Amino acid sequence: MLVAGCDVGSLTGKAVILKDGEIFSYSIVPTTPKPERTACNAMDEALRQQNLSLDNLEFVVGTGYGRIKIPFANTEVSELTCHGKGAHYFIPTVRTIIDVGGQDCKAIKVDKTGKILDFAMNDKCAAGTGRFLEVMARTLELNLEELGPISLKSTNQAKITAQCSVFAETEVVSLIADGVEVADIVAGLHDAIASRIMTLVYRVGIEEDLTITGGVAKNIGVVDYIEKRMGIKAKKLPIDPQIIGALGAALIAMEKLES
Amino acid sequence: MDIELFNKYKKLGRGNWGKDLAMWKAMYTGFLNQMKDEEFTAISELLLNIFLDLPKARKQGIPIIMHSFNYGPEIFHAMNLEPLMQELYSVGLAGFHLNEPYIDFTNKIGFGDNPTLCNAQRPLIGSYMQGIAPLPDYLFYLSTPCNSLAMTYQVFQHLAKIPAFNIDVPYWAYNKANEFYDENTVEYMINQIKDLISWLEKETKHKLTAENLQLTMRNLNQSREYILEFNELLKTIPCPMPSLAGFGNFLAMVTRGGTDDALKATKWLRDTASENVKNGIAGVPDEEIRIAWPYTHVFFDRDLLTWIEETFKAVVIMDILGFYQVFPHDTSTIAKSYQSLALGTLDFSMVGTCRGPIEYYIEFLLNYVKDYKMDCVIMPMQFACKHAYAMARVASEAVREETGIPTLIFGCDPYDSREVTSEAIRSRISEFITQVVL
Amino acid sequence: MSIMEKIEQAIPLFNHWISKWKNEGKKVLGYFCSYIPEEIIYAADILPIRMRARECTDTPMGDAYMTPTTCSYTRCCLELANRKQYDFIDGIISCNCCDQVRRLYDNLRYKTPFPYHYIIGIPGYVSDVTIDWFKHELIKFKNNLEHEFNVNIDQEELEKVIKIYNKSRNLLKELYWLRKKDNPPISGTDMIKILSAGISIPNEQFSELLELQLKQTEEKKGISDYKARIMLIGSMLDDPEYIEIIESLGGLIVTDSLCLGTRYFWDLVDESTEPLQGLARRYLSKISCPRMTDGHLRRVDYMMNLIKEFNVDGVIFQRMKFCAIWWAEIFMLRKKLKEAGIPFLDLEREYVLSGVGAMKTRVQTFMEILEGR
Repeated sequence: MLVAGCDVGSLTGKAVILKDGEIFSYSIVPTTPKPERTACNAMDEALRQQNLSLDNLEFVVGTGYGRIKIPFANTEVSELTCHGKGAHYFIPTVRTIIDVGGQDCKAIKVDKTGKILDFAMNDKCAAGTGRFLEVMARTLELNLEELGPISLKSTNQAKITAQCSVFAETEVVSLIADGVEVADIVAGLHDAIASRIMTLVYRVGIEEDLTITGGVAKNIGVVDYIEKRMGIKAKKLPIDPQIIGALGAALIAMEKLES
Repeated sequence: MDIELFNKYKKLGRGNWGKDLAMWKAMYTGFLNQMKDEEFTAISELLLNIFLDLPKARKQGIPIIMHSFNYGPEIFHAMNLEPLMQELYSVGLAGFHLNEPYIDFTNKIGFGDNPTLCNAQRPLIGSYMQGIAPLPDYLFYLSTPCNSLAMTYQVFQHLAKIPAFNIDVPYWAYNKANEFYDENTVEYMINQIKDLISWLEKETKHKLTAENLQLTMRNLNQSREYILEFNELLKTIPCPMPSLAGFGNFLAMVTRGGTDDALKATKWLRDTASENVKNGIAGVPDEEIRIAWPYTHVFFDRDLLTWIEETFKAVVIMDILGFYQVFPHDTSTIAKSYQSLALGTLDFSMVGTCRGPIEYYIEFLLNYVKDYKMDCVIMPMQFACKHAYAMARVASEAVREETGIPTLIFGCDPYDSREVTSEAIRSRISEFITQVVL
Repeated sequence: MSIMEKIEQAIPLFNHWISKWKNEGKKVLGYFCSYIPEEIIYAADILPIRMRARECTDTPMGDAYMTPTTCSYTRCCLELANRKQYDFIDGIISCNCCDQVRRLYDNLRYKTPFPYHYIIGIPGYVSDVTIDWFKHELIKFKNNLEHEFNVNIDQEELEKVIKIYNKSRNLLKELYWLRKKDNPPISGTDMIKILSAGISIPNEQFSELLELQLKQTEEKKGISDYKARIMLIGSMLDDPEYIEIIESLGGLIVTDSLCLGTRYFWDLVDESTEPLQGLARRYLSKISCPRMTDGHLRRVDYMMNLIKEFNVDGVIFQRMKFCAIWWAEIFMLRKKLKEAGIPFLDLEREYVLSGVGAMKTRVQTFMEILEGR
């Protein structure tokens, strides 16, 4: 049985193909102004890896910000439900999922089958999202991938007090001018993100096991600060955390086909 | 402060006050330490006693009634109940920045945010949920001047399951000459006050005797006479008292109105002002600018006013709370005492000015500016204070039209130093005074 | 034209019922809150309409005077007044129901005055003392209307008008009862359209439309393709599009506690007492808005009863951004629902529809949660 899930997000498009319940291939592509095109790019890449075509797929579920625009999807499901299922696939004991994406962050509570029970979202402002880090990386003249390792070198974490990312950028510029160590500034930014995320987690309640999905999960600095604030260690996903949404969509595709 | 006196108060603060009074005790210690290097005045004494009285009342089994910052506790004193003014707790913590973790916690549990609900009450909920808010036996609040107050007290009432009583303050004026006059206003208040007293008698089993009522009202109105004189004295140029001196009057009346403590404190303030006028002493030496501050002050920044005084030789003559404007009444009969209670509620700080149409506030502001010969107006408006912030612009236009003097309006959170920082506030004020006023 | 189409014609703030009313030389007064007794106004042969401002998309003047961090309903009203879009309204009746409406009244008087304005003081809780006071307020109001518009509002007229309003209240109730069915014959979207019409046209004519609508609805085949039965709770919502979004994702609104919904019409005025006494009692002690400080426990019971009676699967709260009253109320109601194991979704909104993508994600996720139960 071949099914797929396609997650069209604000910064990237992802696709996951499952063969008989196992991951057959997956892709992550940059977003384009047209969600339809992003979806096709992601799907084509995943199909290409296994020499498949769309006709081979028996059911496709779309998710993400652009989910209603995916032309080849049989149905669409919210990304929160999909993240729940996707995380559960690798970590059946997961109960709390934090997803930090490009433009929003979410806290999701699931039951022992990965079914979503409750959720909290922030999609009104950039604070606590990948976008925030992108802007700050630029200001600090670093690559996104460097942020994590650098922050772990911090010895005297700076305090970023601005609530808004626009003002936080100004704050970072003055910290640089004051000669504060870059590692300390980055650590401060990571702490600020963790703080925003904690507000959401609190709404759904902290319950182990915890895992973190989305692109920002690859930043060990942010993960470290989230773990510190929650007082528990997050279980690491054995695969790229950015594809969890698409994986969940594919799992739901399988469920819908079987029913 | 005299070192012996300091040690005496230090000793009084020892011992176990109870788990829910942990923060209350911390505040006592904080204030006491602050007073160590300052002059010990009647206001200092009043403040320390307010804190000490709470554990004392607990030990003696006296019922504690928590009330809002806009209501004088004279009835509670007359009935031998122990009043606890909630905002002294929530707002007093702001001076030490100790309220900020509870503001954050209240955000986390999803009870509002700034600017939806005011931080003058929210730390109560956050600290209650962490088990360290002082727990009263009863709760009392007015529906005025704002929704935030009424709602947060209700949430506390239902969360902590504390019996509560609410008085509805009417919109209308009791002055025949006022365009918003309604002849039933005072009677409506008196009826509700009588209901309050019945409720208190039933719940606490304490009775309000005619004797206690009259004695309390006599003290109360004597205090009001002192304050009236004090307010008059501040019209002198230069102002005989430093910035926000009137706040002590407000503090005395809202915590100890009707008692000897309040008499002592208000008399001391009046005497000090009077002496200073006699000796030509100015609160701010070489006073150059007189500032009207028709709102509450920035509680988290304890040095703001001193900075204004020193930087610009400007004096801030009272704020909306400190400018206590309940006139003394004749209380020679029981009926007149009830009338005084009603009028006192209607005219209390921030109630009289904010409970009705904007005209009440504008009239207050124009008189304030004219009587005290102010040079400018500064309004540091609280974001969450919708009823006040929505008046600011029209009020400042009225001031400009009538007197020509300029107004600075800026938004901030007077309880949370992280929202709009001290630096940002000072730069706004500095800009205003240097570019506009001078 | 179907009844629903006729009703939709009544929804715009200035509709042909109002223009006909004005052409007859009669007056129109705008009011701001469901605590204001419309009957007194209608008895003076003046048309009471609820102030709305959905056409308003940006609020520079509203922001400048009311501040941007306050209720968008009031900012939009001030903005439209400034843009002269309320010129057909001969006056406004306000009340001190909440800080924002109270200050809106002040700003309107100073910056965008109407030919007539009046404010009623609504007590904050229910007791014999406060009902007496409210009756006194209503007498004052009646006298002021009589004086200003040179009319006489006598007891007989008031009794007649109370009967008219009670009739339409009963008809609305009957429509709501139909929604208890497994397949409700009317959607929440259509219901809000009917309710919006009711506050914009003469009540007698509204009753006529309701009777026809009721007959039609009784015979309609019910709605069966929905995912969950929803109760909608919150404040001033008069936007069918908002409800449409929820219903298009499978959440059928079967009942509510809304300003224009059950809280507006459920309680009747007692026709056996003296009219102003009956009005004072009914309006003050009706199922309350959270601005009333003593009604919380009763509102909890009310919500739980409606959930049971209408077989509700989940509750959606909608509150206006910056509204202190509703945020506190919802904070308490959520706890109750959590204890009772009833799922809920807490949505924040602006008066004018915005953030549709974010809203859809949340509502869809909520539907998926309900489906999975």
